[in-house]
Amino acid sequence: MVGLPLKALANGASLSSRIGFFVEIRPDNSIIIHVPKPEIGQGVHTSLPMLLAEELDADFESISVKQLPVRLVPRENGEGYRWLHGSQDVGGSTSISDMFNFLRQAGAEVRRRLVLVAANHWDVSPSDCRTEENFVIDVSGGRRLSYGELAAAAVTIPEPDTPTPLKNPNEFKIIGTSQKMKGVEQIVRGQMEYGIDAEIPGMLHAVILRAPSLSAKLVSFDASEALALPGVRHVVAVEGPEPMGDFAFTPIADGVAVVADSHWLALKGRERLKVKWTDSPMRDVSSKSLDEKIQAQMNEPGQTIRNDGNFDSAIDGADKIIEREYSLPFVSHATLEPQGCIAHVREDGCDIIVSTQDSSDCVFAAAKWTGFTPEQINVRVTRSGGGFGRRLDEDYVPEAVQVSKAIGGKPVHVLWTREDDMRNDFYRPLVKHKFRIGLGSKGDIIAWHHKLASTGRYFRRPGVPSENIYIPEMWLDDFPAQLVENMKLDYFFVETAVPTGPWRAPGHTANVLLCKAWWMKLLMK
Amino acid sequence: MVSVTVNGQTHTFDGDSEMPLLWFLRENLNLKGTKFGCGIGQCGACTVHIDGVAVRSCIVQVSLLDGANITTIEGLAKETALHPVQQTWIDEDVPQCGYCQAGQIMAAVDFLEKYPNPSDEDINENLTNICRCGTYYRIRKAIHRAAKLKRSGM
Repeated sequence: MVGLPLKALANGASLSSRIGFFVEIRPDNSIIIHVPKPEIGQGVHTSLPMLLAEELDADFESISVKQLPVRLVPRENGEGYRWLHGSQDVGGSTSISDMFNFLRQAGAEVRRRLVLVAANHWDVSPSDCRTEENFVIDVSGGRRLSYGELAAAAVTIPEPDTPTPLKNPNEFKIIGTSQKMKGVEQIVRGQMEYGIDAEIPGMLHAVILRAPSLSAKLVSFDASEALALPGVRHVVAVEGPEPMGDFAFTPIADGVAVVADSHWLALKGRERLKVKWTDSPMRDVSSKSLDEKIQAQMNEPGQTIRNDGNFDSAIDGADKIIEREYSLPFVSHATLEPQGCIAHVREDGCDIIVSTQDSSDCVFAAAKWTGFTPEQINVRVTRSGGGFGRRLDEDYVPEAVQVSKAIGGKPVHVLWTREDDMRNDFYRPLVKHKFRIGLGSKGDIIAWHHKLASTGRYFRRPGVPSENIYIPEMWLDDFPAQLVENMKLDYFFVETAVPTGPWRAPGHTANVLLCKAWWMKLLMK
Repeated sequence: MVSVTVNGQTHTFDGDSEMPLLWFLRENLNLKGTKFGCGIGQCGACTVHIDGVAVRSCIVQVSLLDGANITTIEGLAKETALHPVQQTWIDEDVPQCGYCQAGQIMAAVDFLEKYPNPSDEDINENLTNICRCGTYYRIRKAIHRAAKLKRSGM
């Protein structure tokens, strides 16, 4: 093994060194981890760096984090796109399981390179070195070199042919511990940047007056009074695509955008718009009419999705039968940071700055509405003021892109008000549950029938056949499956054009609550 | 023309008389630590201090604030030294998404001036800022801790 001269360690020592996608090491021995996934309050800007820091043997206190830019690249086989450095979407509570070994591997590889540089420098074998809190230590000689000193020379070391071995979990020092949230000091000082705070130089501000009822279309508008306000620059139409078309499950409302020098001026301008809309094709739909429709459907046979034992004969033999009915309304997400998006449609590409959970669909939506390829779209994701599933839909991107295009490609920040946010959501589906439960002589549950009617969120999703709409609504293995011998689950899909989507814990938030509430009630009898 | 002092600096304003303090801070002064959440004084994300009192800045017109002394989240720390409430917010690892926390902190600072030794009930009754992530449990812990820290003379 050739010993590297000492000056190799000092090369570029005044700059930080990026080793791989995720790790940047500074000469002062502090580390920046570039986190691929968006932080929406679920803690991935802390937990994902913990995975990497574990295998890197890093001092977690020395680590700060940055958001890695969104990068999709064409697949080698020419079919669609893949992530360059791991999935950058967050949803379904899957970030840790998705990235557990991937980021550990990345950390282990950076550590391998640092050890190799130190071993070469000391002219010892890498196996004679150990690592601890940002230092490589020569076991026999007791010499130490910091990661900061070694990093510059580690950058160019090629990747190994076989994956670098990972730690045995019983050696973990960081994974499994409680760590303070990265960025917490910026938050308490008011210095953390959210989507609402971001800027592009020369950016204008827009608010949109959206169709007042579902699926109503814009007929005409009179912007003269709005444009008479000093500082109001443009008033342009925003097109909501047909919900059954390309944006089948991400519909956006027809609207009129007021573009001004500031958000406040845009709001003032919006108050002065005069707009004509078509009648809503859903004008006869109300909570009452939906409830009547649901009751009628639930009197007919449903789609039986689980049928254990024989419910009908078991319920006939029950000592006692209990029946209960529950209804839950549409629920909005109400992220405390309202929706919004900054778009800059340039001549040869488009920049997006956005709080989102769905980085990839932001890229694809911007590509679709600009006509650019995904490679021409540059999406910068900020920290989000809450997600809860709302930011898995990217309706705010086509809106902002349309406005930027319509005003000659100037950068624009479309910001929603709270009222906009409440009225234009992908609501947790409205549901009705009916339970019929048979108790045996000892009070044990011998028969369980759960009927669920919902405005299923897979409605209008491309490629989903109608018999699969139940999938995110009623989970086959949800509690108390396999605990009750005779169990039947029936699903009823209720069609409505009200947009629906996932809402904080996919498929479970409504159902498990009720099933467990039931269970408790029965236990207390 | 009105004159207001924000975090020790004096600014004049003669714009739209209806402009809320929130948008004056965010758009005119580029102080973006104060957040927009609802615009109707309900959620508290925009809480700042006007003459030491916690106020929801989205429903206060800046044109009515001539001579007022305003402190925002950016002006709460003294140079590098955090306010005890900021410090205990870190110690108790309060924030999740963090979006409401500037408002929560500004409300808690004013509250502790009035209730230096608060009970949980005092906190629940007086602090009405909304946290969509549900950090209320840790907010209460951090307030109790800040109260102790303040009594110890920090």
